[in-house]
Amino acid sequence: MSNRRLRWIFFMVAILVGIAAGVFIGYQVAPVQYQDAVPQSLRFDYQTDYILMVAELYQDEGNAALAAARLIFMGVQNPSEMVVSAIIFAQENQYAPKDIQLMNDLARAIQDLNLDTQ
Amino acid sequence: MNEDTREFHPIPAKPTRLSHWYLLTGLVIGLILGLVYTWWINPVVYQSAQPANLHQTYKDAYRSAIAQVFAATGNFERAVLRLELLEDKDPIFTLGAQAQRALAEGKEDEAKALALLAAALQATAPQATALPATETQVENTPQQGAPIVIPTATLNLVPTQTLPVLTPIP
Repeated sequence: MSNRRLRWIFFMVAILVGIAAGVFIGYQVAPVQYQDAVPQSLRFDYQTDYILMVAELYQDEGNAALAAARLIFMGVQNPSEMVVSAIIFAQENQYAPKDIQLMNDLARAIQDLNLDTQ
Repeated sequence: MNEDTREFHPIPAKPTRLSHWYLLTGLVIGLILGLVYTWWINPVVYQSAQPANLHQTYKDAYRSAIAQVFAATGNFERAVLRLELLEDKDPIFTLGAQAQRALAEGKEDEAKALALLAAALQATAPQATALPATETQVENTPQQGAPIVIPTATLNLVPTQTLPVLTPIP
């Protein structure tokens, strides 16, 4: 094998090693950090906590439309479905019964709201 | 020996010592390609962001919800835990500034809730940063028409070091 050909092979190997190092650095050592995340990308327990906050406010205000608006603002596409998912998560993770009850009340209110608007 | 039979002795070429810089060049090119791929073409997609990573608009909404829940339930411990998720450098100042913005936008209830939480935080802050009691009077439950006390950056006092008094030398 000629010396020139051997150099090309080593050059290609060096590029591949560089790519491997770059991928490792880019994914493991210094991955892209998102500073402007949207609420849909929140971890589900944080989403559930936000829904619990909305439920607590609903208990105080009694305004289902405002509660739905708060959920939609945070990027929840289907508030009713989202609240039900949050309740399931809360039950699985042993949230306080009072908190689960609050979310149940919110779910019921939003479902009623949907029925009214349909 | 005539012209046709003369031996030709070519001068042997000096063996050139090829450097290995090409390996480093390849490595750097590969590294750049790898980083371009992982940072721009196919970056890590976060599916489990934290409230601190939210866009400022959503952070404000989150903070506002925390304050309003605190105003409604009075659960200070839970409010503090939630507020910590936002990782604000100076939560009192941030709440105060947001309260001022809310007040300017005509959202009085929201402003009051934010100010209430800021004041509650201020009241539990260490003595060095605490304000005199007369300036941080906040009622436990918000009442309609009550004056809104909004802490500002200037209220967040920083303890200063006092220099030792020099004793006169006899």
